[in-house]
Amino acid sequence: MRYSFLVLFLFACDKSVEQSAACEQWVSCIDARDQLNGVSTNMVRFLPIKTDADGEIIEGQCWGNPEISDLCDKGCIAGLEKMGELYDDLPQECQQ
Amino acid sequence: MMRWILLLFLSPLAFAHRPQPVEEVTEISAPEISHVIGGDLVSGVEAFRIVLPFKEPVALPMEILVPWKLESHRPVFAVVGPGLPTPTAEQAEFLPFAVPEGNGVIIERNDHEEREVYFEQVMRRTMRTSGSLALHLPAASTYEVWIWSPEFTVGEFWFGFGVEEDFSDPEVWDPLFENWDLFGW
Repeated sequence: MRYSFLVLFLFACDKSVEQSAACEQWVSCIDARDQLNGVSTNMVRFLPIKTDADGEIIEGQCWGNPEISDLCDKGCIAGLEKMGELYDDLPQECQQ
Repeated sequence: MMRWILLLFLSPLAFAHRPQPVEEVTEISAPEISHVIGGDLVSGVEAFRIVLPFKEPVALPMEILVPWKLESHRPVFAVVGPGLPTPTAEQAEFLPFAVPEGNGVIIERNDHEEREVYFEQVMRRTMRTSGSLALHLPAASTYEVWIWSPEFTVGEFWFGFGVEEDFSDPEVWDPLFENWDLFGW
């Protein structure tokens, strides 16, 4: 019983959230542009969260807590919209 | 001593950019780390340049914020560098500097009728934000961010970018304490 409280406490302390749908599309969009342009963009911050053995976030820094995830999610929504305004040759993955 | 008490107080809080005061030209040595560049448009005609030397193509969020009470203060920013769209004649006229040959530009005009009010939990200030905007900078190159006030409004601003935190260097906090009025409450 005592341990179940501990697990509950640890779970409550984990404020990480899942990658948002907008940022999943943002990543797909940039990936597709990269393939067309033959480059590789560092988008590690927008990827689904991944931690190392010590619990340090090594990918998906956007999803470590609700405040920053909100910033990233809104950024991806606005970023996809901005891309649509700026470029008329976007891959299908970028279409909204 | 006060400094260490404050650090102890601030450290556990969730999300924090590295603070740095703006200069006419502000060089950022580690642009992959999240920063907040704070400044004051005193006359309204200033234009600041933030230099971001990226070693690889990146995608990251950016936004510009002002104190909540400055409702009509809407500084803007433009990202300038390779692989971005060529400026139109109207954009070239709007910008504070000429875009170098071979570079392009993306402009955040901070013109949403309703701006989000944002409570910044680390320094506990209430702000209005242009809104977070994820940008794709598609070259391993140096990009610049230009910040200015097209309506010549005056007041403080903070330009934030990135999400990766790194406070391993103890001197990271120095600009915060040396410019407390700009970043603190």
